[in-house]
Amino acid sequence: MAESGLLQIRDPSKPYGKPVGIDLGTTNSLVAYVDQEGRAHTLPVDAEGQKLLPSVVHYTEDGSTMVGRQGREKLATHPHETISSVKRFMGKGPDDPETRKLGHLRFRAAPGDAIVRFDVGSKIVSPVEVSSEILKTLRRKAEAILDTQVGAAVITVPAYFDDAQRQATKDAGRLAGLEVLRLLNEPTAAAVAYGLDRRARGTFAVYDLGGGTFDVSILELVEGVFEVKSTTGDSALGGDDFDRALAQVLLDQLSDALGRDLSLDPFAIQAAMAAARAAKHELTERESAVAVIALPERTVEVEISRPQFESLIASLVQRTAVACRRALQDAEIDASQIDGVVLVGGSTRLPLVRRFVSEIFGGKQPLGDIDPDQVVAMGAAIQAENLGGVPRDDLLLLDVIPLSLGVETMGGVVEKIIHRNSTIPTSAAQIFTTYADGQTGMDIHVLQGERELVQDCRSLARFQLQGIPPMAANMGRVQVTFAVDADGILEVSAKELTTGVEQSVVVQPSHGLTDEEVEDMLIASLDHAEEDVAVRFVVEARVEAERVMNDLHKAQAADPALLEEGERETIDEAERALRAAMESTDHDRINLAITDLDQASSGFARRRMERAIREALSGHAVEEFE
Amino acid sequence: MADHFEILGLPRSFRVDAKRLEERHRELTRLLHPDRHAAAGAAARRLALEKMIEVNDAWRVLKDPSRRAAWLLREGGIDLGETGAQGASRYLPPGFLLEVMEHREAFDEARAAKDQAAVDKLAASIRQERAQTLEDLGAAFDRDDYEEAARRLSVLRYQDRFLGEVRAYEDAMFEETHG
Repeated sequence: MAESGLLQIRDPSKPYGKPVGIDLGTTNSLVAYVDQEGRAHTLPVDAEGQKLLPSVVHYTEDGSTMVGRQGREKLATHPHETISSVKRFMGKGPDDPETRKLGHLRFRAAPGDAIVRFDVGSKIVSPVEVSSEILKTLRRKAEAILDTQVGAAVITVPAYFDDAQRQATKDAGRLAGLEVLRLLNEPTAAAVAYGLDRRARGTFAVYDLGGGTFDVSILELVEGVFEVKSTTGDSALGGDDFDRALAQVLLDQLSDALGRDLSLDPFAIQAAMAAARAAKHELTERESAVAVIALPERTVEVEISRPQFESLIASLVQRTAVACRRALQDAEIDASQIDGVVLVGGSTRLPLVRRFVSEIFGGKQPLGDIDPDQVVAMGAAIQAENLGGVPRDDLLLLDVIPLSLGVETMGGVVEKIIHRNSTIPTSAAQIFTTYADGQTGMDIHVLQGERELVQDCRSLARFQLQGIPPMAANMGRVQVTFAVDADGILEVSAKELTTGVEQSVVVQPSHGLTDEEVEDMLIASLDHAEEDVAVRFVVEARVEAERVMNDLHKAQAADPALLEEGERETIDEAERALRAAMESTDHDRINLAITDLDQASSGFARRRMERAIREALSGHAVEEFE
Repeated sequence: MADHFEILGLPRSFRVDAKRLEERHRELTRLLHPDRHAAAGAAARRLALEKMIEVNDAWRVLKDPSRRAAWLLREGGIDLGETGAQGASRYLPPGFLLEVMEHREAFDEARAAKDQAAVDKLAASIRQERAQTLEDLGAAFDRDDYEEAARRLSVLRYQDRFLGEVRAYEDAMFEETHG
């Protein structure tokens, strides 16, 4: 295979180009980057300099896409072929109540399908694919403006997103050709944008009312460490619901005016939603607004006063108080101990919401001087630069898992194994015992949520443990380790304790795509697919090889004394083998050689790590004596 | 079994200096967090992650008096599990169950009558008793009296569970008015 352009433009020290932060929102999405002075900026996504890309994807008859404002313009005329608010469907099954809400989409799931799918006329698409179109658009805009390759991103998610929703977001990133450096919780991203600016210290609440999700997080800031104490929310409540509440009223009036029921008419629904959105924005500044509902046959105007609108949404806003109270309780503080409140999301511009937030958090005037629509993307850009560009010592984010993880036990009861608000990364091990003679497999059902019964929690996945050596009943003991990584995503591994044999774990996500499905989509999305994917695998393997060797050289130069007798020779030999492998275009061979080098240097790496830990701990001991 | 105190570089004792515990955790996190190793090779990332998880696990156990006591007890030869009231019941001090039943009755009555003042009063008295239990636990561990510590931990778990139920009730009341 010939070296393609892709292989040549990569700078090994920055294998994925300029890292960016992406706020993949329900209503709008944004992309931001950090400039050479370390300041975050959101990037314009169209010729008029707009920063907000409407999260709307229109599928044309030939299957190509129109994303953003162009796509949104098609909502009124092509409601079935145009997908908005796709974020609400990420990681959801076809039976989810979300699919039955006031909407205009055609759902089309095959029997037994684990995820929602939309029929957009020219094809059937999943929410992951729709989201990846939004991400691709943002990526291309950023590449055009920054005039460089963009291949890595921090993508934000609502803090309250469960495992399936996070995995779906990560899959969308992969499908858009992005290395997802981290999934970052939106409230945490907002806190970063504020906190770093002000060198703040203290306890902060972030009230994040997005288009379709609500999060509230309590964070403690000490010397650049952002420690999330608690997070909670409602992943099905947002500004969209305000629009829907108003649109419902408009639809009723429209039906009256035209003398027929329009509540299920997709064109009327779209027109009412558009009118409601416009009226909501106007009511932020003014005491009353006129909603203009434009239908092909007739245009109807409805006057709405602010008190009228506020009474429509009051109960929705009230609902956020439950989450705020729980966040405070989980953080074991009361409202008076909050030093500041950060507002995130366009809906927090509404005067009613501002009054309400101030009331809940002990009368504090909320901070809103960074645009609440842009603050999340800016925080994400700062973290992206930290992880994929220039690392900064003064920034560290400690986040938590928003919902407890558990396994199904006898009688349909969930036994919690990792509790909500545990700092991630974290893990827990559980021992399962065989119940039949000669049993070689075991099924484990993993759930997420706070309730006691299986039916009340979110089913995440079923795991099959296979290859347990046949033994008498109760003799086979399998230790299953549930690990949650820094993205809040679960990984499972298993070991049979009697024999010490690692068990294979076959994952069947309840509401997600398998790795193979994502891989297939990736291949299908590229021209000259197989060749391109092969090239990408080789590039990734070489990047990893460079990383490993760079690390090792730095380590050897810093700590030659920690190398044991003969160790350097073994390492050098493995490194020579890796260099030889890198000459080839066989990514499997390169990866194997990386593993060998890792193996050869693992003892040295461990000694360095352990010494660093001892130093960190003894550093404190010295201070205490002073 | 990893020694949580050793991992965080703290003396093994039920009486933990909360401020120092937080500092140690923060210090080690600066060193080990995956974000600090984002540019490293896979093996180096795995190694740091493994240690980070160990540190987070130790921190989670040590900052919670109930889990901390359970860990120390197991080291002393009495395994009551990390949480839960199951294994704990055989260590309950005499007369305690009667007390629990009385509290429960009072709570059920207050709950049925939606008498918030009565619930508050009950919760306040349990909180006060809980503070005493923590003192007693500390004293028992100081004497290496594990049997007594097991009894006090069993009491603590009942008190925590009771306060959890009070909280669930208050949450439900709040949700009723804000649903």
